[in-house]
Amino acid sequence: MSLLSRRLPRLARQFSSSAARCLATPVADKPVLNKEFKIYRWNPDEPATKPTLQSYTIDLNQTGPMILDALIKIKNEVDPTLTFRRSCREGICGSCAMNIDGQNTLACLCRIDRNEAKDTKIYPLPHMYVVKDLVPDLTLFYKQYKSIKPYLQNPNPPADGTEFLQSPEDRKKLDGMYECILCACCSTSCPSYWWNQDEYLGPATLMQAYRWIADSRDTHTAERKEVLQNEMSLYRCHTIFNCSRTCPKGLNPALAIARIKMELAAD
Amino acid sequence: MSVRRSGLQKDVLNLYRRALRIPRTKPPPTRAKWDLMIRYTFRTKAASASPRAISVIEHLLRTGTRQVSMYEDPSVKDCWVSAEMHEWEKAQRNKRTEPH
Amino acid sequence: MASSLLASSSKRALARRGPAFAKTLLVSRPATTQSDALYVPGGPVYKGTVNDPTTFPTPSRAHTHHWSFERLLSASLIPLTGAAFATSPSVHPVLDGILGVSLVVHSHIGFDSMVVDYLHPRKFPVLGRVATWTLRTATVGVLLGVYQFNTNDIGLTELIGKVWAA
Repeated sequence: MSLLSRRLPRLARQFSSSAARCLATPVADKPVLNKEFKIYRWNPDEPATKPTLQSYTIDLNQTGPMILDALIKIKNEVDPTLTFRRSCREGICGSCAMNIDGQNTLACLCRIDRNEAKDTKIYPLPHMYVVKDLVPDLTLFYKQYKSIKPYLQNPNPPADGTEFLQSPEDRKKLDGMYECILCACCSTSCPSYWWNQDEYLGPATLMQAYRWIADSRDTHTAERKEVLQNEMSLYRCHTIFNCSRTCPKGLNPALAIARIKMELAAD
Repeated sequence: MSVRRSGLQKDVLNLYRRALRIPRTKPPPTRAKWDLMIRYTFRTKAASASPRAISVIEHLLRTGTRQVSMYEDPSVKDCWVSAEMHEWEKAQRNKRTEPH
Repeated sequence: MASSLLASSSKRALARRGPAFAKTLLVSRPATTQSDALYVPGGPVYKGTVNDPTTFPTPSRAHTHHWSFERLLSASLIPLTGAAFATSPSVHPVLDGILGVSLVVHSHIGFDSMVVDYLHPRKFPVLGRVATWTLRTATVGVLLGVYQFNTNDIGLTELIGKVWAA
């Protein structure tokens, strides 16, 4: 009892101080840091009007550090018609992929450049059909992902009826591939994908194809390799490396594609 | 001799033909509603686009195809008809009966 | 399949040029199924429904061999170039010839992949084929030229050496 009573004031102090830090108090001491955002706008209800860049200026000291925070602030306080996808705000869902200052990345993982003099330009992912504003049509991307059968194919379940076992070395082969969140940043940064996206699968899909080729538990490796043996699906990759450069998760799709090519050549 | 049409025109007409077949697959009491809704949607959207604006037509074609494939689903049984649609139909009828 | 692809892509090219042009040129297309009729490579409408996976072209080992050959050729060009210049071309005319032929084949593969990337016949049924055949005739012509040059004249390496020194 005495211990508790001795500790309580300290606890209370801790709570109150952390609460004060969390409260959205107006930051009076910070100067106004106005930054201009130029955002691509296109309304599908008026398809005849050309897409435009709309300019928004917000105070960076009144917003969070990431581009997504700025976008949410603009949508909440300035223009509710601004449309973009977002969900987890921590780079694990891949919804907020967009082209920020010429780089495909996730808005939630991209810090705002605090240089007041320079505006930040935000476009949807390049070379995709636009649904509205910053929302691209990813139908084809998902259709391609589906075409590589992104699931375990093994008709012989283990005898003990529990789970497929894998050695730590085999598991290690999947590192750097299973983390992909399919945000489509890499595919839409690939010039080859821009010109031939109806036939070329693109880095994201190819990396997932290799993720299943490399999986020791999968028995359909030969079939998976077989379908890629054509001029368009895989060999339109010209090792441009835009995919690895742009990946907001720091993965290396180009390496996975190179490994598919090596395995196909070695067969 | 039939009129020769460009590929895009054919695509648009194909889409309309596909949409017009939808009411037949729906329950009989709702068929008139379906028919009106489809004709209204297509006609007003088609009238809104300039025949020269290829990208606009392509956009309408893309969204229209999606819409039609959704309506074609047998689990979709009914649709809603607005007052504008009824008015539009009345106007169309008057236009047709008016002597030129 | 090939004919329907051809028809649909020509139709798209025509649609882009305007109705008047299309009217004069377009031949009537054979009736196909609904989804076929709407699909245009790279066009606004996809093949099949939203939930259908995309399809793969017919697989062929040839493309894998093509890639391996291309890589091997590119890699071997480096020592080959060095060897051809280090040795005297009058003593080793074969090496000089091999270098000439590999260079031509290497550039043929490069140009061919450009044609496949930007002028694929599925999108450009006329221009794509014209480009492919122009490239092939050019390659054969250049190969003949290299043969003539290396047998009747001074040879490739010596020419570059002379130009370099000049």
